[in-house]
Amino acid sequence: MSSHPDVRAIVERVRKDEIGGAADTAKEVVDALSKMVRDSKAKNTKALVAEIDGAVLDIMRVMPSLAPPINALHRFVGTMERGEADGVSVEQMKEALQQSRDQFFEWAENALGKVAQYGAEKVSEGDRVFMYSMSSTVWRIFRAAKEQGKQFEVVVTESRPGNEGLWTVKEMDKLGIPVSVSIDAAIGELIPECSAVFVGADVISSTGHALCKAGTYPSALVAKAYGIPFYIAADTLKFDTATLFGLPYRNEAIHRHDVLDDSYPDRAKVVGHLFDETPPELVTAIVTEIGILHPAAAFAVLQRMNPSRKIGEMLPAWSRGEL
Amino acid sequence: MTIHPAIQRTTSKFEAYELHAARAGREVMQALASVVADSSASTLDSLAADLESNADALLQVMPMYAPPINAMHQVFSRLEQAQKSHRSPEVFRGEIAQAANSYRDWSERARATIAGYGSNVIPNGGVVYTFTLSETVLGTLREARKRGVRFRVMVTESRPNRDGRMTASSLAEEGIDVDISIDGCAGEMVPQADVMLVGAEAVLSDGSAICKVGTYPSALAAREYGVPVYVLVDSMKLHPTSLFGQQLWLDPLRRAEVLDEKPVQGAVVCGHLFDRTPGDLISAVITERGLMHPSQVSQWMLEMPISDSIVTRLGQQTPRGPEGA
Repeated sequence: MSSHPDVRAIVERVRKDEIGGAADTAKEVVDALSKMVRDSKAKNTKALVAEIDGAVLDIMRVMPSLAPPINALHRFVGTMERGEADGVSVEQMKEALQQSRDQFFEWAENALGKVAQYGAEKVSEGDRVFMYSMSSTVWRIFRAAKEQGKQFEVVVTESRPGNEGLWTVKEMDKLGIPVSVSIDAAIGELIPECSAVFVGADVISSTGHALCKAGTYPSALVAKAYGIPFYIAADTLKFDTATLFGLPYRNEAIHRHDVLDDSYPDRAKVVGHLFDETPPELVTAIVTEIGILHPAAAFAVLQRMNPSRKIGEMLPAWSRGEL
Repeated sequence: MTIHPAIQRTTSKFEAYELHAARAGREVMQALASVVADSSASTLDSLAADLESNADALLQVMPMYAPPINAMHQVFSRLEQAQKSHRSPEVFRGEIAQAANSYRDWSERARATIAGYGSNVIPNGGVVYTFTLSETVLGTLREARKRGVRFRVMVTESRPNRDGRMTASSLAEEGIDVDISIDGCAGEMVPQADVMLVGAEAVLSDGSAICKVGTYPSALAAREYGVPVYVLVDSMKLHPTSLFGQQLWLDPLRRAEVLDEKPVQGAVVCGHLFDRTPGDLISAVITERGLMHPSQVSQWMLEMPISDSIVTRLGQQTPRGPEGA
């Protein structure tokens, strides 16, 4: 276990699932590693690399299947690998990694702004747009559209079991955007009355499949049946390199008490997961910071990522929980 | 005009959402029969007036399920026939008493027949996906089990009243394995099923079915994965005046069902308790006459009793607005 307090802290926080969103986890991971590098007493590059390798392993061991922090690690470790290959000094390596951290933070901030800007182009005056559950990226799109002076309404469903759709209700109300809310089962009635659907995603796979909150896939089916455009808002940090190697993504099971209380017989089992998979043929486009992409372009996006060799080698064991 | 106590009891049950479609049909039939039996009217016309005011009281609160509407068609078409042929009130009273009795028997027989046909489409060792709670589907699953078919059931909770949980507990208590999840997981569950069985509030002349909200997205997922969808209904669930373009106004969701705590000022609750599954997603409608393509229901509707006065009354119905409106 790494001895640096920031690394120990991030490992604990990831293990206990204390961090709100995947993007925040990515930032915290990179920040902790860059602080460890800054404070490192390593005399040479090799010693510094060994220290980083150890810390990365500690973090990966507790890391759930979230694409953004793993992609952030690809960037950070990739920078380190290039430094190693170029035979840089320990000081040069420290500086390169500090720069990598700063660039990542700058990129993250700009990326969401661009997703919002491009996505807002798909919201038109007088629209009634449907969104499933909550997504801070989609919220940004709506805020940007509102700032452009467009008048539109948002329809959302509660999104059981967490009812994150009700967070969307509050957020839209705060932004002064008219909002209607219903139960998840009502998507078949509500989506046909809308002009577009926007959802966020947790993971985009190399084949363009999107892992989103459970209920997104049936929503996409309804949208397809009525020819209503279906947009997924996701910066490219959500594109999952592990899927390129055919590895599965983690999906959390629904808890028994989210559906049944103790009065129900044991023979009635609670099944299902928190996320479902929407296939690319139901998706009009993925709105990314690169631009508005066909979902199949996920492969090209992953090719541009220049993934780290070391992280790539860890992924198979990591996905089996054997790291 | 006084409202008969049996009608009052029925209206308060409707207001409390206590009657599902099939039971509503039986209940309305018996209540209208009580109006006819207890009316002090000495002429057929004054008996008709009694019946009309009681029917109006029902229509004000009744959800648009087909069975109670068909019960009204049965009583009022007999009334119209009796008026045309100048029958005495006594003869008419006798006819209605008999109709009410045979309705009860007919309804039980129809359900048993459907259960038999329905259990034939459940493959041994298969997985049955059903939505919400349906007396007809539960009867079918019980019959299949009695015949030695082994199967597992999948159901979602079915918000807002979470009736799917009743399905899960009834089946589990009877020793049938059942999996339950949230409605949002339909897209994950339906592909695992071999067959989807649902009940309906009404079937329309275009072959579409009005079912508990959420059935339509489940049926879409079923088509995607080639899972056959069967709608189990007796003929009282057919809505014959859909032939004339008459719609069924669906009940809106109540605000408190979605925004119970900390309400947000600007937010509106939208959506209805039922949605419409188009006929092209339905593999077969399973009725007491057997399995039929959904388009064939219109043929059957032409044979059903239709009362002019009920048609007029339904035509005057307007959609119910959101709660309190």
